[in-house]
Amino acid sequence: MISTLAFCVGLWGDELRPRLLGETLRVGSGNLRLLAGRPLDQLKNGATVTFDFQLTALNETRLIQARTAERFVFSYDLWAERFSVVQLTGRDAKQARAGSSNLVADAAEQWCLERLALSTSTLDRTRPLRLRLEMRADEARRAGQSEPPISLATLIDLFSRPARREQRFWVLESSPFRLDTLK
Amino acid sequence: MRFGLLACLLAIAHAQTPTATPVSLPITPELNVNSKYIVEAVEFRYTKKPVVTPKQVLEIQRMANLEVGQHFVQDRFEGLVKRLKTEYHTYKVRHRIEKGTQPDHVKVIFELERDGFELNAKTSDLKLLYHSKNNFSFGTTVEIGMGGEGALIAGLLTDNDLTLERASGIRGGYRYDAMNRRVRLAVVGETFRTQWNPATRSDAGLYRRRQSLEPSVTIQVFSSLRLKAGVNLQRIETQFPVARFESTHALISSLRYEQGWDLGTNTRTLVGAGYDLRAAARTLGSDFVYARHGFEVGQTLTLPGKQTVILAVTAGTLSGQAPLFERFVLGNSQTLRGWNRFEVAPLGGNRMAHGTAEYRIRGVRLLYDRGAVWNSGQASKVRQSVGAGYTKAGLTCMVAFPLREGHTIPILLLGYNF
Repeated sequence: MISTLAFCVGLWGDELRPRLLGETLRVGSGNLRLLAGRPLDQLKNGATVTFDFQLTALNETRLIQARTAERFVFSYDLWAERFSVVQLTGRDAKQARAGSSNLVADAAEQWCLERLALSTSTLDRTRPLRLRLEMRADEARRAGQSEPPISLATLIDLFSRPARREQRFWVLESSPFRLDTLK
Repeated sequence: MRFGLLACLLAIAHAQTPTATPVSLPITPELNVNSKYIVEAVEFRYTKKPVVTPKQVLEIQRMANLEVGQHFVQDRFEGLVKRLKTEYHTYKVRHRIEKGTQPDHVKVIFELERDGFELNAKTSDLKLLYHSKNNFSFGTTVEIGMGGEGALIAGLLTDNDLTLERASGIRGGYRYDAMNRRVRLAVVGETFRTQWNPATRSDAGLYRRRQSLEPSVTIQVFSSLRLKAGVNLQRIETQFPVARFESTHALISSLRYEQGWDLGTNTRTLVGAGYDLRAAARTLGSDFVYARHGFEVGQTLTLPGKQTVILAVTAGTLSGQAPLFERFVLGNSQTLRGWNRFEVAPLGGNRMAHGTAEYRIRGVRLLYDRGAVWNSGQASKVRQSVGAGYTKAGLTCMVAFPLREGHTIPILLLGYNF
């Protein structure tokens, strides 16, 4: 019964640290811990687990000002005992996949965060903003080698719907900040 | 100079450690990093293997075995899992991989766990008895698996052996095993219609029906020790002097210990002991107030040459005012075999002690029973009996004689699992 309940780990507050890199907003977090519990069990059984990420910038009234979404497929090397991540989202369907292997759990999670880049071109640099990071694990989804890159629109559509009952999801949010104060 | 050389060696060693730094994957990386490994073996593990393996499943197993020696490709095994699911509707099918025995090899394991309705009729739950004095008794219980650890319980019986009455009726319930089957939660309801032997006096508190509901929890404290606790709620419809309903609400608990030891080649001993308590009180809403204690201890010694020696002692006390089904009985298929229980004590007793010794060799059984059932404050009369029989695959044919002076009529016992 418990397994069918929705899981949500809401970690509100300063767990998400925004930083500016050129014209993009990036995030860092020391408290992601996606690779635990059932997804981790599944990875250690040699299966892949798909994680979808959505990063949104919200204004004071919590209206979305900008967003980006990415899909990552994790696997666990049984012999090396390290994680491997492949990014499936492509702006262009022909775009080659990016990936990284030989990662410990934290590094694999951080690698995903580094791939999330939010354009600041549409954001007001003087108004307070918040960043919100939503993540969903799709353990039932077994990503095959023939998996095509997923479009940003599809992912945003996916996050517009509530998580399925058996789907684990996580939400992290930053404290309010202004772009012009970020380094 | 030395330190410089050492630093150089350390730097080289560090650079050669494969897991030290993340490695960027090629342009089109494999989604599952384990696809670089070779499949060493494929195993199919069942929680409960079906009696017959369908032809289609044999084909799937053959296809899975074709993957041995190839690189692990998750897609192919996912495809086989889907096919297995269509063949085995009542199973949860999963696959996982483990490290193989050789480096860079993996084992693929298909796990099939029973997950649907399942009719489980254990032969141990079937009892059939013919008693030359008391006619037939029959009882059976089946469990209908609900998937996972739950099961429905259903049964029917007509018993004229263990209690003073002939109880005929049905039982139904539900049980759920939790904590790796160390805890069992159960609720069982029964409804019986009763018939009485003419030897049982009509003013003794006869009833025509009784219904019971028994929620209980059984805990396997250790592998050898089991504790059961619960409540037995019964309603009986009395016959005399007028028809009315009375309640018997009792707390029940039992403790069972069973441990076996190997004493040598083909020699094994099994020691068991048990205690049962049924306590009915007004605070539980019971019209009867009583406490019934039962004790048993026994030993089974298995010897070479298919020989078995069984020694067992049971005893019980009953205080207070209890309905007839709680009173102790001797002279049935379990105790004082050779005696008729209505001849020993037509109303049972509130004190009981019984011992049995049995020797079996290759199915042939020789037994000696000795016991007494009486009421407190009255003198007890010890009775004895001997019997001989043959048991094969649960079927038993036995003749038992009461040891007494004068005319003796043997009792014939025939049946299955008694």
